[in-house]
Amino acid sequence: MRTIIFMMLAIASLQSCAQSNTINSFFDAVPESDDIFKLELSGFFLKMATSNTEEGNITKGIKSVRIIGSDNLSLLPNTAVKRLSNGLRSESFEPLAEIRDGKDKIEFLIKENKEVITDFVAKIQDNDGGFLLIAIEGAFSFDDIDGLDLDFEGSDYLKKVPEEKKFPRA
Amino acid sequence: MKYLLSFLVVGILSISTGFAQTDAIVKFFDKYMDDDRFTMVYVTPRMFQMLDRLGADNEDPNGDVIMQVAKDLRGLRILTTKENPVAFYKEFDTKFNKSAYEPLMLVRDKGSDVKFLIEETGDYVRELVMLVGGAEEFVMLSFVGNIDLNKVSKLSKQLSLPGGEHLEKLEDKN
Repeated sequence: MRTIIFMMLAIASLQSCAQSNTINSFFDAVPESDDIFKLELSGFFLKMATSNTEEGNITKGIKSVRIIGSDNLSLLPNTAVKRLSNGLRSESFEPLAEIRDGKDKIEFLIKENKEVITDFVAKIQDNDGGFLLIAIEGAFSFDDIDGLDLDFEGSDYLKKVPEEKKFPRA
Repeated sequence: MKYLLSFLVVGILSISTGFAQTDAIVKFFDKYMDDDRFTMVYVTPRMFQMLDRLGADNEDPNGDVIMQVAKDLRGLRILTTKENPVAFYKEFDTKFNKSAYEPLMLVRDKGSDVKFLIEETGDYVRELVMLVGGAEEFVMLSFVGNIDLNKVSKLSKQLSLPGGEHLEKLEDKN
């Protein structure tokens, strides 16, 4: 009996490992480099930074914001980029929209749990070899994503999500 | 009993044909969606469902138009290319059996054909297909949902959809 319990605990822990976030793996696989921009903001930091501001309502549901960007996709391990795409599919990320013009490509994907978005991913690749990944984790609604006014290179792509100001919160 | 069987057979055939037509568009789209020669736009039903939940700001007439149209849409696929447009147009034309669709309008202008076809269910336009074929470009556009033809061209203008300028011809018709 004890053996069975231990086996089930082992399987459950393996399952947790198996559910390790594809995004986590990608961030770990990307090397440190002056030509690779990495930003990781915790939910706690966001709440602190936006307390007593309008954005405070938006950030309260966000657990983390992670961004990786580079002007040169070849700096990122090719296997990691492929595993990212495959991993997002296997983790049941749902595509929202995909727009491609030649080698310029933008993808928006989400993962939901009972109509609450738990993960939002924007993947951008451009014709000049640039790459940007934005991953937002937490518990938030669709219009919260656009309400995040992060000022960094490539943040304009988030504006392609419908603007919060145009739509009242559901 | 004989009549019932006949109706069943006709019904199954028509449903199969309908699915085959939508399937032809999806197959063609899936074949070329990763092809660098094409500009591709794909908006999933999920995205439109989420837009539907957001609602509209009445103070912004532009946002209101977008939301009014988008809330009833359930999918958007666009493929457009300027490379070998005639060949792609012919390829799609041979695979696409137009009998399941009702032609809405044909415009021939400067050597380019612009065709609008719709699939109706009762009083609703369930799918709008636009095909552009000529020496300059090939465009395949498919809107799926509960479509208001009067507003769909406004939507494409607001969103600057590739090939969307041809949708303005729908306004001329109306």
